[in-house]
Amino acid sequence: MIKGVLKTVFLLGLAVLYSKNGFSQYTVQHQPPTVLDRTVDNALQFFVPGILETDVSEALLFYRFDGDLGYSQREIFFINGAFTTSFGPEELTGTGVEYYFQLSLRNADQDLFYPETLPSENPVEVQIVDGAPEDEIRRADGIEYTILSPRPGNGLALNDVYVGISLFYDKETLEPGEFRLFVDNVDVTARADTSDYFISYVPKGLKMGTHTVRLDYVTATESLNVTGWEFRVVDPKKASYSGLAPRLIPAGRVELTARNQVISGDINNAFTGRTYLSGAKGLFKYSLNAYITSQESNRLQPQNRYGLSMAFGKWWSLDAGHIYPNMSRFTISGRRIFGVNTSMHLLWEGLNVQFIYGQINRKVTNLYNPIEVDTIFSASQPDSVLDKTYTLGFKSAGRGTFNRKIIGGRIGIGNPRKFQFGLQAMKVEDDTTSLFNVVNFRDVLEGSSDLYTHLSIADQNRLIDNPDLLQIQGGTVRPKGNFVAGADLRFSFDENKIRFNTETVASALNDNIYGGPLDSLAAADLGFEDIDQSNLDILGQLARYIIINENINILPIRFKDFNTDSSSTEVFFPTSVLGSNSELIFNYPKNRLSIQYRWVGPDFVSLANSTIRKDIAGFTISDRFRLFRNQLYITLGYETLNDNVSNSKNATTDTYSYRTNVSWFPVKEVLPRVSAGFRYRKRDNSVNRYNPIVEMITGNQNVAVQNIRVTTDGDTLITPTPRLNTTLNLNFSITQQVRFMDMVHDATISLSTLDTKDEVFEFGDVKNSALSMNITSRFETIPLRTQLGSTINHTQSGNGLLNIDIFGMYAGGSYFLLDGKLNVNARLAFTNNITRSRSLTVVDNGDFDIYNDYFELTSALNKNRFSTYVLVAGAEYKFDNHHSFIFDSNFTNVTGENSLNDRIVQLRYIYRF
Amino acid sequence: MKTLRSIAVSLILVVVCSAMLGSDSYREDPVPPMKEQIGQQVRPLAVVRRFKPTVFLTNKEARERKLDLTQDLGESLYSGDTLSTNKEGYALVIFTADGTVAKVKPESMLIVSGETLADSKISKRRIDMEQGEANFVVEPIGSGTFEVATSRSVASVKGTDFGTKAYGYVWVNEGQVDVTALNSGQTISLYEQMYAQVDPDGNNIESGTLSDQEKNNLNEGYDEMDEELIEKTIKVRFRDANGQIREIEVNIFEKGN
Repeated sequence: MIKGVLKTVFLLGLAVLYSKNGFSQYTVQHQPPTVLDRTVDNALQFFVPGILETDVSEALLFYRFDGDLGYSQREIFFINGAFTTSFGPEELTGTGVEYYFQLSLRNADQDLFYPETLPSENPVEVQIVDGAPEDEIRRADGIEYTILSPRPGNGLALNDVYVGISLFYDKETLEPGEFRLFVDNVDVTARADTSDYFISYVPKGLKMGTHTVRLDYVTATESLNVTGWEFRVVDPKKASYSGLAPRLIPAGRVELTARNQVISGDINNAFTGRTYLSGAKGLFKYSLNAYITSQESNRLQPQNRYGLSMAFGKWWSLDAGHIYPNMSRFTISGRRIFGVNTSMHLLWEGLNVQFIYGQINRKVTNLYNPIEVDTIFSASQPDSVLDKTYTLGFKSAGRGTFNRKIIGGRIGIGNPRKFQFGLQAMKVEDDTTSLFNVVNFRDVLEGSSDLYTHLSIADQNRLIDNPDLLQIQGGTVRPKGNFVAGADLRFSFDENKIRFNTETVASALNDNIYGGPLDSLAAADLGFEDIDQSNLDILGQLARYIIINENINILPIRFKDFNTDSSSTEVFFPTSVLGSNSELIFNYPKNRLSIQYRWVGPDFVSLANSTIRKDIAGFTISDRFRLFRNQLYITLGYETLNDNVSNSKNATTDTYSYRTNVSWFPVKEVLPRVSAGFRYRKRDNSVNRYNPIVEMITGNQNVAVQNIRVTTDGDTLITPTPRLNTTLNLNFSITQQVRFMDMVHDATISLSTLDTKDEVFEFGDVKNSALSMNITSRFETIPLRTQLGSTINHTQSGNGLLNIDIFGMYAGGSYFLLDGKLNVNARLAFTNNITRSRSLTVVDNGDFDIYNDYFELTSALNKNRFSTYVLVAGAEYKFDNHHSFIFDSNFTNVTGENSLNDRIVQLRYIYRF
Repeated sequence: MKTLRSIAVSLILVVVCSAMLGSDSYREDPVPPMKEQIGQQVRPLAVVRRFKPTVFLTNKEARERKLDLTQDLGESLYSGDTLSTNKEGYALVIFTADGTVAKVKPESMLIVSGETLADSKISKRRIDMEQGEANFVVEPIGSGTFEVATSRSVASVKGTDFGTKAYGYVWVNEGQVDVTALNSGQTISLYEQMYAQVDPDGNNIESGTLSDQEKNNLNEGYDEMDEELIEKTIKVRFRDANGQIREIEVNIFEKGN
């Protein structure tokens, strides 16, 4: 029995561990940026060859800055064949960001991730740099100039653009170098007419709109800026209409989409509408967004989404509808809800109030099958009925969810840039009345008679008399309750350069709130016969925040003077429900040092943020400094964490991490941007691997199922599972802009490797290497932009348990015709996936001795191979500034055992106003 | 086998990318080192920023060529060069030292000459108006000297907007111009909205004040070359169908030079 359970648990564990690697036909392609620039918008794009918008249930980007406790999340929409989001300058905080991508599909049991291997533990890590704003580039001293044309800010006709600059300097006093002319940040020096004191250039093929000119003087050691300005290319026959002044009447866009698709031979049509409106009047601003689809289903969380945002200056803001509120890292941080989130900042930001109300999940009804009756016959007398079991099962995907409500708020006293003290609380609770949910047969009688009328009268009567005889397949859906409350404090010195933040919260989770708070009968069942009514009254009063009963994750009642005459119970505060984070930051221009301490108990839960690491405590120290005029960024990090913070486990695992990253972000565009980093992590729970029995049989005790120790009395005992592994993570990325054959190429190559060596478990090793390359090219003479890329991913895990090789390539381009009115684009992608797997079995040696059991790989090799070809082609025609038609098509071919041919055509109409 | 093929393809890609990255493509269009250029190239005195439809350029060696609208935008003028326009020709010349502008009318001919310094905007420039007429907007700062000579007169300016005709007629839109009669040496100063006429012998100067109408007539035609557009924002208020007063901001481009 024990063996069976062990086998099941272990193999299930492995299945979960490696399920992320999956056997899915889809893989996520992504080219991580070398660095994120704090001065500009940084786009992140994830491409999943073969995916269709109708397959997508939800796509989320989980991200955190500087090793935060948990991840914030944001939804990424599937637009134009890719999942694209961006980090704006105001969003990038700290020195680095870690992120991973999660894609939930409608008809798949498992989600897709990038990175594929344990993404939350091994996210993509990218350094944040401060770019090279114009004012930070050193000005060239001793060089005077006269701009002859175009005059700064002026407009020119397309065929009249001429750039001319006169230069005046004493060559004897100037360091040797050369002048380089940039138009729209493209170095055009080679095609300009240059002399020592005069530079002229006639650009070709400029588009209507704003353009930039920049003149640098480049020496052997640095790039100095001489001057830079903007001008516009305009059609003199047309006036430029800049729109109404801030107004209440909205401006925005409406997008209507009709789609026809054939997936696995099934024809499906879908229609969607998307709109975004915004307007303003004085300090009042508002925006409205909506996404309506014919794919909406009451079996899913909302697919139709709409929201309203309003703000009055910096004093008041309101988001309503489907929104993504942030309150704190311990409560809710970007999780989508349907409700309202409003904030007020009064008295010069001295009084800050936030309120959130809505629902996290909407109700999805349970779909039951009629009760099934199993009759158990006597083994000796086959006609003799011993017993009957009654099971209520769910229809396919028929398990429902409760309407899960959320209410929360925070009040902060004081300006956050100086001193602020805040209090926050959040309650998340399922509405038990929102769902027809069968717990026993009495509930069945309140529902449809179809569930039970096929039963015999005798069976019905038996169930009426013993309603708990009814079993619910997979267990009944349990309503949960969660309460999180705490305080935070922040203050700063030296003009906000030294900051201290601390936050401590407590949480409580109830896994089944049916029945309400604990009463004396339930308490007696738990052994608390002597519990005071006053204590129970306290629980009753607390029920408005959290229902405390026998199903709460940690019951705040314990015995006092146990096993004595004065044995009694008392209410106590369990520290394991606490979570705390404190951070001290020294943020100076050349150096940023942060020291962070966190303590999160094993029972801390926020149903609105599932990414918080629990049962963890320790320090994280990170120092980032800049050298060579902010061109070289070096980050050093050290972290020590341990679990078992409440001494509830038999062993404590310590984790030590060392992290270094070097980013080279030169001002000169002729030099590449480079980022290289390594992370080394060691996990050790100080339990030695010991199993001489298995060692004697196999010669390798690291395959043993059990870890044992022998006492001085000669007894053999099972000890905690040992844990000792190291992980080395290397990352390298280089980005370079080059000019070649009248094209400007932005080339990026990224390489990352992950090597986990398990010293105490034979099948715990994981090796992963990923190489991605991307070249985006812009032609200078023709309005063509191309993209070419490749990804190679190799994963080896479990010493032969599972090997996955993925190779992908893609090529695409977009071309503008008819004076920019028509844009045609196409993209061809190919991926080849090869999976080789073996099963892990437990060899029990044909006896009942569990100490000699060991794991063994089966000899049978399962090989799965398939390729995916995806052709995406489309065109956009702009009738004018208001109306556009967009045509998209997508053809997918999957070869292999389950070959598929899917196609999709889509027509979109966009109206901008 | 196919894995090997995938790896081979990947390696080829890496090599290609690396080659592209390492190729130092700037060599494709090399810019000679500064030291080699010193002494060989000088700053032109002016550039023909704009012209239409027929303008001729004659250099010091008396080689004349017709400027091509598609290729000669920004053609350089060096000391001693002659610019001439036919009966429909216009030209806009910008002097490189300070951006001083000369607008040349049809059937005109002028010779540019002067000296500029490597490390200073101060320069000496002289325009000999052989025939026709031109308007000059001379930058006031660091301009050194700027003279416009005809057969009868020399107009000397340090920052102004004025016009001159080859027969010794000078008028001032803005600033101050000193006009000297070539033979007699008589010099008078002209200020805004004044004119001077030197007699055919170059002895006497007649001067006076222009009416607005006269000034407008004199300046007529010089906007032919004003194709650079200066962006301005105007606000338009109107009452919409609901009776609400609304304000529209419209960006317009006004002709400048």
